Amino acid sequence: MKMHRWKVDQVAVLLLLLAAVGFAQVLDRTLVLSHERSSIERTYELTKYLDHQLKEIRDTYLSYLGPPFSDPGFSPPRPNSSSLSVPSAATRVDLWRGLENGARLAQNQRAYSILLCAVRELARSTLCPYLQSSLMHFCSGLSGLLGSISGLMNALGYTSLPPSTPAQGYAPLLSSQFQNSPAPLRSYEPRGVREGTTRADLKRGRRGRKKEGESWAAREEREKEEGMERWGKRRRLLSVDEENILKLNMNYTALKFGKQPVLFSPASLQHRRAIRSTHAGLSPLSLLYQYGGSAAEVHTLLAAPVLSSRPASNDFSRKVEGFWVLRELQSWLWRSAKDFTRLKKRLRV
Amino acid sequence: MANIVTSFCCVVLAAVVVVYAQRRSQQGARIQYERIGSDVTMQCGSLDNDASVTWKVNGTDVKARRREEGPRLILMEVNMSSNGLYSCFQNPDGQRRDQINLRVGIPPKEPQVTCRSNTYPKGFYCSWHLQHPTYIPTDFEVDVQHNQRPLEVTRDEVHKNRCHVKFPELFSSFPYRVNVTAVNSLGRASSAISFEESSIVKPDPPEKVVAKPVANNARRLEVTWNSPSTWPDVETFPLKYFLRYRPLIRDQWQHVELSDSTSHTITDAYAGKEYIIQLAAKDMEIGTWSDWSVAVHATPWMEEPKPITSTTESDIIPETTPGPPSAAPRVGEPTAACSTLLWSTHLLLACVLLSIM
Repeated sequence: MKMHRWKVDQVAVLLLLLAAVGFAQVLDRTLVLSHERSSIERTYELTKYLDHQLKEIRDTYLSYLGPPFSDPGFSPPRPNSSSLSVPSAATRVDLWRGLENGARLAQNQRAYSILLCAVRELARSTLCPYLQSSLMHFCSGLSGLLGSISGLMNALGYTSLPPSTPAQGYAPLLSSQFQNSPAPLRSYEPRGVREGTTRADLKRGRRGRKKEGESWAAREEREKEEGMERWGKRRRLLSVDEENILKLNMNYTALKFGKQPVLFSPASLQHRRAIRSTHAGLSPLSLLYQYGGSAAEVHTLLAAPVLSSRPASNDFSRKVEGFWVLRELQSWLWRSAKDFTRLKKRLRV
Repeated sequence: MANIVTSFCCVVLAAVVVVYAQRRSQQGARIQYERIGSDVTMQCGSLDNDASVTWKVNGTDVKARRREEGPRLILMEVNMSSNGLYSCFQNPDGQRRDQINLRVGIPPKEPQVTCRSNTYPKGFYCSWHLQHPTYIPTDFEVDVQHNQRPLEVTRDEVHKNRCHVKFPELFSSFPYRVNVTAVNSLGRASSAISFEESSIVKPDPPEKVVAKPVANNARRLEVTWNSPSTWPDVETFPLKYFLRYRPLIRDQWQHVELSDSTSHTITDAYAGKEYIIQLAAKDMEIGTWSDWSVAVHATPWMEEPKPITSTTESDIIPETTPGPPSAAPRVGEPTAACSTLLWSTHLLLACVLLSIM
């Protein structure tokens, strides 16, 4: 009789313990999510703030560029080289809706890292000191946004540009590119959460290696370098680099060009933009250029009279590029606001 | 018996023949569109140049300024009264040779085009109209371009001057270009507009606005509403709202801006005053505010007035009581009277003090 009662007590205690553990886990998850939600909210507010700032800066910048850029409603044709260096925010509705949280954040992260460098370069080449300081100030805000996104990705356990998701279309290219590209690009390890590092340590021993001891300034510097690499590589797309040809040669066989017939005309490059979105905003083409693709190799694949050996870096084309950098940045800020709204809703579930 | 049947058949046959002849006579007419103020030449069939014809309009003689040259009738400086069915009869046999339905009008001017998206992110619609009527049938051709690619345009079934386009992609940096061409027999004219995706987003006003008083609280009004039914996905593309309210007796509105919420409680309503309340909606980030919703009226809750008990003092009191208890709006008056009384006593005191000094 006594034994039986003792067993019942044991079971009861066990059940209670299990319940407590389960409850703790749920609580932990809720707390984690609420922290992320507030982080998303802050990032959302930041995009709205930057959007507001950008409107003013853009107006000033366009009048600095002078006519025809300063004419209302002016939209210059998007030159091929520029269109490939600045990531497009445009995407099909159904694809955008279906993006997984990690992919959504990764796209934002990638876009802003490139745009940040583009705007910095814009600022550097601006002759008007007031405009230059406005742009630099804006860059610091943009950099904060980038940091916020990266932090969010880490907190949610997403790695930056994960190589293992084939759905994103560019992943296989990335992993093979790594080994061969001459200069190290962004390291795809998850970085430490900026504001949440200490909290993260306390709250959970989650996965995601953190670059411990790395100060915020050092990280920003490193980010800047990496972003500049990517931006620089994109700008250098048209310079022939024989060394790269040999190294990247074997990687081009991995490119699934067979999927889409690569017709070639300026108009069709615009068409490619539509197909870009089928690969969640990225296409093999853009990555080709991103990672310092040699023009020669591209020529054999694309048979292109359009790509010259050097970009025409005259004044007008630089102005057009500047126009598009700011225009695309504006689209990205609108898109990010909607991205974060969606993230907020999805995390609520 | 047989006679009745045959005569009935004859009547029916005759009716059929008459109807057929009438229709045929109208079908024979061809339409001729001409510009107002111009000289119009109407040709009678394929008669020779030396043929002699008589013209009639709508069965009567042609009275307008004209010239007749053989089989042709030339009307000078036609106007709206020249409209009609012109028939020409060959002389001398009087056989009708031709019929022309003359319609005068003007060539179209550039149409005015506006586009709007109230179903973001599904698509947008464009509508157009001619500022000046053309008086003759005019068709419209629409073409929409985005990023140098034409988009599919669906004409609206109900509204003749409206078309629908689906957004090919979202968050695009390329503008959309809509070109509308008005065409009629006298000419064509087109106009084009260009816009960005974000600038045309304008939701429909909020629906089912309901304003209710709050029990036991004389200064509150509870307002609830629904997001516009045409907005397809309010979860992913939330709206923010603008609520405005004022008592009927005042002209100034009070405003409240609300995010992602479909109810609000007004806490500073004037007791007992009837309020007018309206709402507008906007996408959280892009586009413009919708038009104001239908106005809703509401009055805050009022305490049930206490019945007056008749006493001997009732003869003296009427001067101070504010009147019949059912006149609820007058509840505010005694308080106003008190405050003016206080204010005037303060003023009097101040004057007395000043005079002493």
